[in-house]
Parts: sequence; C-alpha cells; structure tokens
Amino acid sequence: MRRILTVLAAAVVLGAALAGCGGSDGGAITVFTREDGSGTRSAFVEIVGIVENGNDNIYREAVVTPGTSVMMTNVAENPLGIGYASTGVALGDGRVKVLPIDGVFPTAENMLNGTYAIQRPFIIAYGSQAGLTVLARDFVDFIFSAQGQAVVAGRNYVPFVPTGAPEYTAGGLSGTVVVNGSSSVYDLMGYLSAAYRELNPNVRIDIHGAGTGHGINAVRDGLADIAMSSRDLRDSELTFLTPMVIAIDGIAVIVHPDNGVTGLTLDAVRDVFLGEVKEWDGVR
Amino acid sequence: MGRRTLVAWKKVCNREFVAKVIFIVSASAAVLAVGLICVFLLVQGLPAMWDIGIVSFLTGTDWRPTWTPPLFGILPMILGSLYVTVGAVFFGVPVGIFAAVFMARFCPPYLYKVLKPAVNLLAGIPSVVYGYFGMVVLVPFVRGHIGGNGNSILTASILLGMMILPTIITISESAIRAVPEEIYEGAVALGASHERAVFFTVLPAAKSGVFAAVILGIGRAVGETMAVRMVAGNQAVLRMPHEILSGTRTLTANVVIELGYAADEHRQALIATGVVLFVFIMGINIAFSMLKKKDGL
Repeated sequence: MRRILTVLAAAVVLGAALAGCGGSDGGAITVFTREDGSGTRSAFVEIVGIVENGNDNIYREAVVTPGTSVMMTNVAENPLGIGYASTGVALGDGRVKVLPIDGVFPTAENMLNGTYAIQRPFIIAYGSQAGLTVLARDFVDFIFSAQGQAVVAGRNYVPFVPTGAPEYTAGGLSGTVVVNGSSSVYDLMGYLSAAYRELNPNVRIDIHGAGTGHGINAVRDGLADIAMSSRDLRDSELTFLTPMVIAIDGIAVIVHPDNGVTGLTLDAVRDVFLGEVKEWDGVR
Repeated sequence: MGRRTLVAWKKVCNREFVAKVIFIVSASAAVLAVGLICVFLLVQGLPAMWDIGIVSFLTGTDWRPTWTPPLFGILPMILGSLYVTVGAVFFGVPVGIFAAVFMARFCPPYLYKVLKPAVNLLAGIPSVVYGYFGMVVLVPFVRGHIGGNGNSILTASILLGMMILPTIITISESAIRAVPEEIYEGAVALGASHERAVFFTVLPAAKSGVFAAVILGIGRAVGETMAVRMVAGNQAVLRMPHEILSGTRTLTANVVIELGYAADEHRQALIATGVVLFVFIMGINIAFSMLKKKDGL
C-alpha cells in the first residue's frame, strides 16, 4: 500500500508539472465508442449518420472501449462521458442515464412503432451447410416459443414474434450447445439459456460474448453452433450463414447520472460522435 | 558375460536411452515453441507486410481497417507501446529497486513477514483485475486531479508501473541477497555507514541482477494487454511524447481488440502487428545480452 501511495504521489507531482501543457478542461465531452468490428458500433454509426462514403467516420479521439461491460463501466465512472450501448443492457443498469433522442425514450413501444430511430435487430445465425444439431435446433425452437419470447419481453428487449408464438415442450435432451458472438446479445442469450435450462437441466449452453465478427468466424470455423449478431449480416456472411431475428434492440445513448443533459437530438448525437461538438455547452 | 547379465545390461541401456529421449524432448520443448511461433508469425505476417508495403505499414499514421480501401499504419501503436513502457519504467523501476533494497537490507523481520507475501500476492493478481482497478480508481483519479479524460498514456503507465513491481522487487531482492556478505562487511569496516555500504557497495555489486529485473519488467510492460486496453483509451492516433494525458493504443491492445472481428487482410495485418511486437521483444533481449557482455557481468 505504501508503494502504491508513493506511485500515486509521484503521479501527482508529475501531473502538477504537466498541468500547464495538459489542460484540465471543465466541460469537454469524453466520447466513448466501441471497437471497429463491433455490431453495435456499425449499427450505431450507420443509423446516426457517421458514415462517409461507406466508411466509419467516428471521432478519432473517442476512447475505444472493448466490450459492452467496459463501455458501461467507463460511462458510469466519467461524469463528462457519453457512449452508447444496447438498450436492454443500458436500461437494466442503474449506473448510467439513458437519454431520449429527439424527445423519444427507447421503450419497447417506441421501437415497435419506429419513433425511436436508433434500433437494430438481434440476430442468431447458424452455418447454412452444417445446419443445426438436434440440440441446437431445440434451443432455437425454445427461443421462438411463447416462453422464449416472454423472456425477451421481460428484459427490456422487443420480441420479434410478439403474439402467437407456439408453446415449447422439453424433450429431455442432453449435451452442449456453443453460442458465440455479440456482447450486446450476450446478456439476453444468458437469460434465454437460464430459462431453457430450467426445462432441460441436462443441457449445457456455453455462451461467449466475444463480439459479432468473432461469433460469425466461430460458426464458419465450426467452433460454435450458433452465432449472435447485433447488426444485419453482410452479403459475404449470408453466403455461409442462415440468420434469424430473435428480438429488436435499441441502441441507447448513455451518460453519467450526474450529467445535467436531459435529452439530445439525433443531429446533436451525430455532431458529438463526429467530434464536431467538443463541449457539453455546445449541446445543452 | 552370462545371458542373464546381458539381458539386464540391455534393459539398463534401454532405460537410459528412453530417459535420454525424454530429457532431450523436454529440453527442446521451449526452443521448439519459440521456433513454431517464429515460423507462424513470419509465414502469416510477412506476406501481409509485403502487400501493405513494409514502409507504409511501419510508418503509416492511419489505422482504418474497416475502410474501403483499408489503411494499415501501425506507427501510432508502435509509439503507444513505447510511451507506456517508458512510463511504466519511470514509475515502477525506482520504487521497485528501493523496495528491494529495503526488503533485503533494512526491513525488520516482522515487517518482512508481511511485505514478502504482499509482493507475491501482487504478482498473482490477474491482469484483468488490475485493469478493473485502473478503470474505477486510477482513471477517475487522473481525470480529477491531473487532467484529460483519464483514459491516457499516464494512467496506463502508472498501472503498468504497479504491475511490474513484483517482477522488479523479487528479482532485485534475490540479486541483492546474493551479494557476498564480505563486500558489505568490508565497506562497513572501512567506516561506511549501513546506508552508504548498501547503496554504494552492495547495490552496485548486484547490478547485473537488477538490470535483469528491469529488463524482465520492461518485457512484461510491453507484453501486457488486458489491463492496458481497459485504461489506455485505445485511440489509434499518433501521439507526441508531451501528450501523455491523451489516450493511446499499444501493439498488444491493437491485436486483442480487433483480432476477433478481423478477416482476410485485416487479420493478416494484425498478425503482422504481432511480428513487430515479436521484434520488439527480441530487440529488448538482444540489448540485454549486449549490455551484459559489455559490462562483463
């Protein structure tokens, strides 16, 4: 502990020396983004309009947070931060404040009627050639059953099959299903698998939230049964994957709970994430 | 020689032979592993470097892997790794060496009983825990008391400085303890105080071990990934040395953040990043052995 304090003391001394050239700026926005390749990021930049000639043009000084959980923690710790994350995760996490966009809050209703603009499908996909194993097929059937979609609705996501989904009955199967992909879909998949395993205690479901691209590669290489994606699949991916939409999810724009801002326009969100507005005063 | 003795003799021979093979295989496992990694990196990474152009790969300042056409310039990451490593040395080495001197020569036994396990524990903490600590303690601290948004070169340097402490302390301490007692006693006999004897005779006598500790610490700092990517900001933007309150991306972070998503050329470019990292580490090791030779240590 003494050494840690010494290190910190050294940092303070160094920091004081640097204060002149560094800059302790009061209201400068800290922009947090997800990494290149993240499904949430590519959906976000496309919908908000941060794409120029098909190229992702997000603010270069934006802090890159690998994974949804790192994003949440960073925004929760930074009073001047702004970031974005799956609404299912963001609304369930009391550490951050979800902002209405153009006055519209990302509720299930607003996403279904389309007034909340920043939304994308949650997709699961399997290898078109290999198909699904009997066990994986059973799990997918559960996801699209009344019970499965009830789990989706109960967790701040919008079910894709709102009514009329068939009842699921357990077949007493056993074995392991490997699921990999989007860290945004990860949470929902966890809830689904927990509900599924209550009915099928002998089935193990291994879920990895390594990112959309990672999951797609894993299915391609035969390392996973099911890929999770938080964006529409690309044409090159559709050549070997069969996708299914399991839910609609919004992307919430999130800030620290102490941040005074009460809402943003979609244009303001774009300006912030393009780096054209750098101060909170510029959007308030 | 009777038949029975002959059979017994053959058995021994066989056993010896088998044992020999086992030992040779064990001994070459490490060499083989290095060789395989070398081959893998070069086969996968060099063609990519060639396609991108070695010069534009190494000196390019733009990293835009998802653009069409993509840009693969890793100079920001090379400098990023350099900055956080130098920073880690700045914070970690003085503290580590002084701590080692204290533990070897000044520490009362009751305190040593606490310090030693504490240092060992520090070494055993997984780097992701360091990363989380950095994210919720160091980042807000730097943002609040020093400046910038907290996700910066400085924060990563402080965190890495902490992470290399156990390596530096442990190896320096054993190096200091390995110095013959006569050297210390001789100095004291000549009238040096305890402090003077330790700092001007014992510590210089242990310098090869201390250097080894620093080099290993640097190796750990260059290679550290999980913790750094959680606090460093990860912007692939070229930084100048005075911009230590801005974020940076290290070579390791670049690989680990994007490898899961990468395909084709992007993936190869990341493996080529690994080649550069490998050359870095080799350079450190070569510098170390040259230093050793020159000093006759």
